[in-house]
Amino acid sequence: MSHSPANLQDQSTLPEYRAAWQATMKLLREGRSFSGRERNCAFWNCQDGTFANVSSVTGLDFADDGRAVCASDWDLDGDVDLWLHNRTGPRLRLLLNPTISPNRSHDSNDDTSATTTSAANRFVAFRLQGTASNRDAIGARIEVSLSDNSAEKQPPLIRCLSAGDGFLSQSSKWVPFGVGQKAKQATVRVRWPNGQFEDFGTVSLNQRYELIEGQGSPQVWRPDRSIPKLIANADANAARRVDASRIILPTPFPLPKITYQSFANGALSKDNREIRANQPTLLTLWASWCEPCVAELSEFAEAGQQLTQHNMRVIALAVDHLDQSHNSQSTAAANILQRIDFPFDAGAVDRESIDKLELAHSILFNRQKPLAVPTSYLLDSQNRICAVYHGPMGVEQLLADLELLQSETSRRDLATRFPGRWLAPQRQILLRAVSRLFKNNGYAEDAAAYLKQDAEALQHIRANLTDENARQQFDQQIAEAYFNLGAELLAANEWSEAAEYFQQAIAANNAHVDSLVNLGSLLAKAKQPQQAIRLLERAVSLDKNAFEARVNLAGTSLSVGRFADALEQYQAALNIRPDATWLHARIARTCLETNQIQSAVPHLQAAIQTDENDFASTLCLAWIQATNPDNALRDGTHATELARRLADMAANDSQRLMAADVLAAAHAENQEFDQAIATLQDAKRLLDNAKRNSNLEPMLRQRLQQFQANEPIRDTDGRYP
Amino acid sequence: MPYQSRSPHSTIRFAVLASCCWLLIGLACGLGCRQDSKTPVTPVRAQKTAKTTSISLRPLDRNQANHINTIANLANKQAAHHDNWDSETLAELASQQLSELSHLPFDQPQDRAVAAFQAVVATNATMDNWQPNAWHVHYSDATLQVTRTDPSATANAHRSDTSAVLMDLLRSIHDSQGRIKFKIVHIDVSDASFSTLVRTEIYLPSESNVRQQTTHWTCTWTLPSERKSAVQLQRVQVEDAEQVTSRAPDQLHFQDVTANVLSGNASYERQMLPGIPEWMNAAPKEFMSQFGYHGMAVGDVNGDGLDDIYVCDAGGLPNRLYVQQLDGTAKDMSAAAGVDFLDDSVGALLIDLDNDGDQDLVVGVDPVLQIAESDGQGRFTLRKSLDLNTESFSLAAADFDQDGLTDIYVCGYNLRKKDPTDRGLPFPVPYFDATNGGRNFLLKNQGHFEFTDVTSQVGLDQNNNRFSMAAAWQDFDNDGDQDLYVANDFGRNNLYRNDGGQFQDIAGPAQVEDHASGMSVAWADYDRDGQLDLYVGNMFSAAGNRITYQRQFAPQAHSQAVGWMQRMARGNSLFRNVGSNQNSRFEDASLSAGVNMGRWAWGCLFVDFTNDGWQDLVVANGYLTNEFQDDL
Repeated sequence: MSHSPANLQDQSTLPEYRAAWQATMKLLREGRSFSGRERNCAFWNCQDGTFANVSSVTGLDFADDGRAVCASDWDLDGDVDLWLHNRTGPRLRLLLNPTISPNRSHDSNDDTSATTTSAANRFVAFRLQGTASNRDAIGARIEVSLSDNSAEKQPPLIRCLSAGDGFLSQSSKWVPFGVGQKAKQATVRVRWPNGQFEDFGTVSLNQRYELIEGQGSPQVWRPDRSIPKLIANADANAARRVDASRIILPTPFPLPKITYQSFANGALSKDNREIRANQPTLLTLWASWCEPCVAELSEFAEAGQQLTQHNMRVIALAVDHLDQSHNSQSTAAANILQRIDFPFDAGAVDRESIDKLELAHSILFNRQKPLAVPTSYLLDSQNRICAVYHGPMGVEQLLADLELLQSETSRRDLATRFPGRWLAPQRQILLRAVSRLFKNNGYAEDAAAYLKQDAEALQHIRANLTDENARQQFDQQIAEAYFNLGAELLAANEWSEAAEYFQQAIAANNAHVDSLVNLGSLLAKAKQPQQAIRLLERAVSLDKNAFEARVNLAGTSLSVGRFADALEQYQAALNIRPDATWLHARIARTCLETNQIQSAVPHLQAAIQTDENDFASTLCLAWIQATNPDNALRDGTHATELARRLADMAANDSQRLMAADVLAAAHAENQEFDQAIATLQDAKRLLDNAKRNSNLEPMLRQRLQQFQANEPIRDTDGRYP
Repeated sequence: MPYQSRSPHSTIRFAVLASCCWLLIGLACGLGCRQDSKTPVTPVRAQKTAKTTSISLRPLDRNQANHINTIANLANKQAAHHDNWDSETLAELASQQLSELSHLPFDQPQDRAVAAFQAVVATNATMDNWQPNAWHVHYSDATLQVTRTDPSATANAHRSDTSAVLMDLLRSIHDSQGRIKFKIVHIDVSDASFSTLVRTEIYLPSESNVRQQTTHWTCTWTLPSERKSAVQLQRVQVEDAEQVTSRAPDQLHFQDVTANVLSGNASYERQMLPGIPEWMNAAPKEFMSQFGYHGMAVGDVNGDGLDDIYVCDAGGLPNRLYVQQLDGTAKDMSAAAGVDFLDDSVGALLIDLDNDGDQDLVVGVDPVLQIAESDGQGRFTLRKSLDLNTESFSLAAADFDQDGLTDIYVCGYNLRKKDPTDRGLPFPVPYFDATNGGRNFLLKNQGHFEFTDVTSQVGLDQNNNRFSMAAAWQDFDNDGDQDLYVANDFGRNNLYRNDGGQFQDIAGPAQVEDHASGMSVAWADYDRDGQLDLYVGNMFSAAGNRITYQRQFAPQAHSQAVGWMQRMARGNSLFRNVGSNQNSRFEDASLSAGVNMGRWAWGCLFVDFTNDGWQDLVVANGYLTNEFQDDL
């Protein structure tokens, strides 16, 4: 048991808690029990406020997974019988109450029968009919006052007519009263569901009555039969098994990517293949040590021609090499196939493929047994699993199923073992969820493939819709599906393919913001800024808080020289997410591009505060503080400090050169011209060492002359030259 | 709609976009800027997980359950315990030993049973039992007698015997084909030993006289050591005991006549006899969940006065209408009646919705409530499909506004899952007082099979966010209108008092919040004082009882939560109605009446077993029995 988080916002323990639930589910799927084999309970009312445990002596203590319990005097013998509906087999029990047994010569049709069983408890039962109230008289309260020979006055017995109580149960509408042994007669009063009382006077015991609202007198009711003699046989009511060897799927399930190393001439070849069924195919997992497998494959081999005539093929995949409990190798399997002259494709399946098939089983079945051999999958020409076979099956069954699956009957009906009527349209397996499962298990390629099929399945459904509203709803989902697929491909760095699916998402829903953002960004990356800007602007207009859209729109605007736009978007982005401090550097540089030096400075400071290794921002700020003509912006001391940090940060000659240049300028600003000159000469040596014929050299020479004239540098452009 | 609408991939999207940003900035800036290397996030790629578990492939025998490796299974079990309760390990060891005791091999040569016994019980062990004069008769009639040890009897009413007494008891249970079952409900660990409070149920049948004992034993055990990993029983002290003697066993023992009544129908053998665990193997998950939440409704569908039964079933397994014949057997009329719905069905009601004198049908086919009209001859026509957008549980009908038309209350358990294949366990937060459950509905019958959701309008949206499993209407305050009690899983229940068609949740002041895992509700005047009392089926958890009383339990949790958790493990509740018209109030009689241990309860029902005029109780229970014995 994991600790329960105190609320849904408590993110610290929520995932662990969820994981604990999921772990429990997994164990249940594997066949573990959870408070199982518990015996039903029965409690005897001791008439003193206590109850005694009579679970066993009543025989009600079946170890079933009990669910619903309903009361009904089924045989109308005057005592209450019980229907139980269980989860485990047998799922139904009718338990006859032995209190009044037909074997004891009791006959409910006989008013005087009470005398023949004088020691027995008596009953009276009522069926109600509302007239002013609801016809069933649900909610009626019946009071039965008993009179016996003693003078003692007892409070009335009370029973109420309800429709639905316990758990998922509705008991009989007959309202039974056990009245004990002493009572001779009873008077009846009903409070009808509308709140009105009605007296029905005296009734005899061991009798059934109909009470009709407003009539005031009870009507005796007798069934058209005597009490049936039902035979008890608990052993006959025992759980049965269900043959699970052949399961047709209501929804064909796309096969994950299954790969194998093919066999050739009784040995493993170097040929790695992938299963892509474009004709009906039986995929069989087998092992050389599995006799039923070999027998089955021999049968397929013999019927090779027949199968081929039906456009049917078999792929036999051996698991010998994967199994640690049997000391066998793929070559043993390959040998067998050569010996039986197996006419179809075969090979050794890899471990990942088996793992994927087990994932598929966890999606297809509630109960997940360990994969065993032979297990076979009937694939259709679209590479989808249509049927699963546990154990050997044989040619006859295979061909019969092939015909069945090609018939007009819906797959759901084929998958159902009993005739009946479905009310809801068929539920689809959510391929998106399948994709997630495969992704979480490390199969990104399969995950993407399932997403793609998800989108296609949606398109297919949409195509068959006639209602415009429903179509629009579907368009939303289709957009979402294509977006998910695109996002998956983005994650795999398949950018051009990703862009294609974002495009499809937008085609389905031109207001799909996430897709607009992603496609816009990808177009920008592909150097199509005008189109990118159009999409991103649309995204921003649809969602003012689309942070990524604004950032990327800004970036793209910068690339085409629309600095004012860029600045606006960056600032809006920062408003949306003030914690995105890395935006300061970009805002600062955009300001500098438009010569708004005063505005840039605080952003540069914030950028450096965010990341003290931000070379570019440090460089710009140092340059401004050393050279800007505006006295208020200059700060030689700080510029020096920044320039020294730049020197520390510099990772290459070019950066070292810039650091030195700025440091020199800062020294000059501080009137330390000797140091400025020395620093610059160092820089010049650096440049000489690099032996680059650079246009920087004239610039440095000019600076040197300036410093020698005790003149600091003044640059109105905030950008480092 | 079977599809979910939110992207599960938003984090990936952001990661990639951030990298795009960086590239664009690079293009836009001059020399100084080109050094910018602040890529906030790099694209995340799914990592291949290392596969360390081995797969084992075996030839498949169609009808043989797969063998399971016990060691691996135990390891799994350990892994399932997320918190490492030392006391739980000890409880498990003690439980294994007790289980040995209940299965001593008496059928084998004498010394085998003795050896098995001695492996569990120390040679010098003692058993302290009550003197015969400490037993008192609590109830006695011709059918049965109830005796109990007197709690006021002093300790010297005990007598000490050697462990031979215990051996004799076990032998007599075996010889009479009875059984003994142990359940550890409390554990105390000290330095030298540990003791377990064990609920012990003994069943001793004989032809004339069937006995059933329900007792609590304090068992003292040695601690496991390196030398000896098994724990050994040193002392048994009988704390309390109740014995029920059935004097006329055949007059109290219910008889299973199902085969006689139903075997004429193919659906009985093929569909009803296999359990859901069997169907889980054989039917696709798309059709059914594994929990077996399928109800039933008794009613007279053809007006012959004989009860018939409508049985809900899992997806792919049609619901069945078994109509009683004159000879008491029942005939499967589901197809002819038009109610053989294949969809996974939960609750059902047979009620007259249009006051024409026949029983119409309501079935919860998630998430849609299906309503079919009866023609009075037992044939039905679907009239209404109400999409309630919820995972429904119990249905309960009553005419709440007294307009003469029966209205329907629907328990909504979970919020409807977007993903229909994801019908797993609920996700209650917090576990002990969850308020993220589904919405319940009151559907007002407008006549002509038209229904209006009036839940909000009548005040039933108070605390309408819990995991409701069951509801039952009752005029508990005897003012002439129908009040409603709702049992909720994972926390508090609701008692909605009806005041002229408007409801108020008074569960708190009436003291029936019953902080537990509510599964079912039943009303009856069990003490015959003229007031309707309330019984609520909950989840008795032996493990919960043990764990929640340990000090380590939920160290971060505040004490109220711990108290709630302890309360949740207590089991079923019996609330005695002690209120007046002006002041609705109930008294918790669960423990004093001795009806709390109903195990993992589902359906509960008041029934007068023998027509003595007093309402007895039956509780159906057990959560998930799957093929492996070991329990989570």
